[in-house]
Amino acid sequence: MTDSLPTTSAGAPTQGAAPTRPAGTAPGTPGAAVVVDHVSHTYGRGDTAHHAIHDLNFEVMPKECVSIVGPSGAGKTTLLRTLAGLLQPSEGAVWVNGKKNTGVPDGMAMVFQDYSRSLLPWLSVERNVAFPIAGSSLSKPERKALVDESLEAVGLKGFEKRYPWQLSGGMQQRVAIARALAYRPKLMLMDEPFASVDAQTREGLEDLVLSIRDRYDMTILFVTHDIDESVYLANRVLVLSRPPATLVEDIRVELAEPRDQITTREDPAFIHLRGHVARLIHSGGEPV
Amino acid sequence: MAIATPAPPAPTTGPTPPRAQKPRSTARRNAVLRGLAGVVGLILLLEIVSRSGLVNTNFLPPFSSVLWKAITLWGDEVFRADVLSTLLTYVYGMLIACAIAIPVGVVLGMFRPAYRGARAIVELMRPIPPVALVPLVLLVLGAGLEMKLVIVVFAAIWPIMFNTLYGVHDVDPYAKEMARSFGVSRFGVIRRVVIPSAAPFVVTGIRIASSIALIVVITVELIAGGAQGIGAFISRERAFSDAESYLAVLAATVTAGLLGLVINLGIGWLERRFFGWDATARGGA
Ligand SMILES: Nc1ncnc2c1ncn2[C@@H]1O[C@H](COP(=O)(O)OP(=O)(O)O)[C@@H](O)[C@H]1O
Ligand SMILES: [Mg+2]
Repeated sequence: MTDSLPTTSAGAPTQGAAPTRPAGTAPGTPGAAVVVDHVSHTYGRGDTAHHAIHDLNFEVMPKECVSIVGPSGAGKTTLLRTLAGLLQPSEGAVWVNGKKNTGVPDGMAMVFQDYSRSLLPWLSVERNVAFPIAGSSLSKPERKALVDESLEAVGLKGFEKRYPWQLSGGMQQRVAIARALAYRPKLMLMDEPFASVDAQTREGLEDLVLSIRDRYDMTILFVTHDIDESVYLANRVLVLSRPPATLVEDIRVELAEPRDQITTREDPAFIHLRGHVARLIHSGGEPV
Repeated sequence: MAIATPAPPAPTTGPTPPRAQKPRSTARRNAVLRGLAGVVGLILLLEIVSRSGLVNTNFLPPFSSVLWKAITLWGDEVFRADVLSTLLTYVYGMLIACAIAIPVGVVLGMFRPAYRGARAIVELMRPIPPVALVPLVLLVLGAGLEMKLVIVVFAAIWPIMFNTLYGVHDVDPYAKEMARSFGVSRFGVIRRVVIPSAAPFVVTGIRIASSIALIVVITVELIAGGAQGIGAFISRERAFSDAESYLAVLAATVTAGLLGLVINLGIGWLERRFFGWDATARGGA
């Protein structure tokens, strides 16, 4: 899987392509799942303005699993919200599957950090999972099949009739992942999805992400503040600086597949990478 | 393409279904029993005081005779018509109040400028006691159903509207963003997230409005001569001022109380049945 990925994906993709590219087509490598083109965002105006992200440029190829790390408050959520089309960046543009984001892009699903708030407490587990497809043109059996399969993929078969508040935190986040899966996204954005579950649950959920990526051929962008997690899950790690966040480094992760919680984590290459990422984050974006 | 990745591993921790839990029902039953004990105690006390001859039995007839009268009154066609009239006014009034207050509350809760615009009018009208409108409305509409309706609607609108407004305001922006991220339209977000999330607040508003509405209907019937209803029945019976009519006054009053109780219990049951998630989701977790 890893060795079929393009070898050059770091840096600013747009510089060379921009002048010759026909209007309305995406900058960067043709076929890229996501192109982030000179994206900056400032919240508010005047004295209270906060420059959250600054001139970010990168692209993500289909089926890559890219993690984004950075200090807390760096602007990781801001970046993800611009990718999701929930926030229009003050400068630059995001292209998803060759289309410029003017709103929420097609085929994109997001898993939010706070599962207890993103699940709807008045809906049972199965109806929460069916939420994204409830208004679609699918037939009832088709919808049910999607829901069943998604719940099965996250190991929650048999919990269809429960309510979110009857489940543990880790299980609730699984429901949120199943909900994203039911939508059958090509692109899945995850914003610190495991920040508030315990370490053991977290390992299980990390392996779940790896398994669904392979099973559903998705492109995944995964925001985390956990350095080990960023390396363990990803094909690439994007390190952001302190705010205003810029891209410090785009690191390729070439670890043996499939990843394993024990062997991967004791692999010298893993240890080296995590050390490198940690140094970058602790220096806050200064050269190390 | 490199070697295919092996089949995805099954998620590692297979959680076991939690046990069903029902700690509430016994607590509820105990509360109901205590409440009943209080009522029975009071009734017994009234009965004893009345039969002991300490007070004039004209003013405080034994509770058993009041209860008996409340039952036999149902044989009286006029009384039945009065109860029906009160109930109809109450039901129509609540329906109209909901039909106005819920949409207005949603709009005011969703759009700040609308709220700011409406605020002055609302704050001006809200403190007006509904019953103070009776003379004015009597002049315009006479003593019929319309008059009662206008006043009941006026009384019932505020709790429903403010609860709706508050509930809509209270909707988690995070949940709305979640819906938007799945491409749900603006109207879809209102229908599928905002309204269900605000619904428990709305129903609480309806419960509060409902007890106010019943009180207001009966009060209006009492003071607006010529009106129909339980209040009118009481006011007519009182005019005779003999022992029998006192009994009828008391029996009608008890009937009104029981109506209110039954309605309140019904709405409470609906709240628990359909919005139990709200208390549990907020209180628990
Ligand atoms: N809606 C907003 N309005 C103003 N400032 C915001 C808003 N959202 C986030 N911020 C600010 O932008 C900065 C980056 O936030 P965020 O993207 O959530 O960081 P991260 O996810 O990396 O922790 C923070 O300092 C935060 O206070
Ligand atoms: Mg964040």
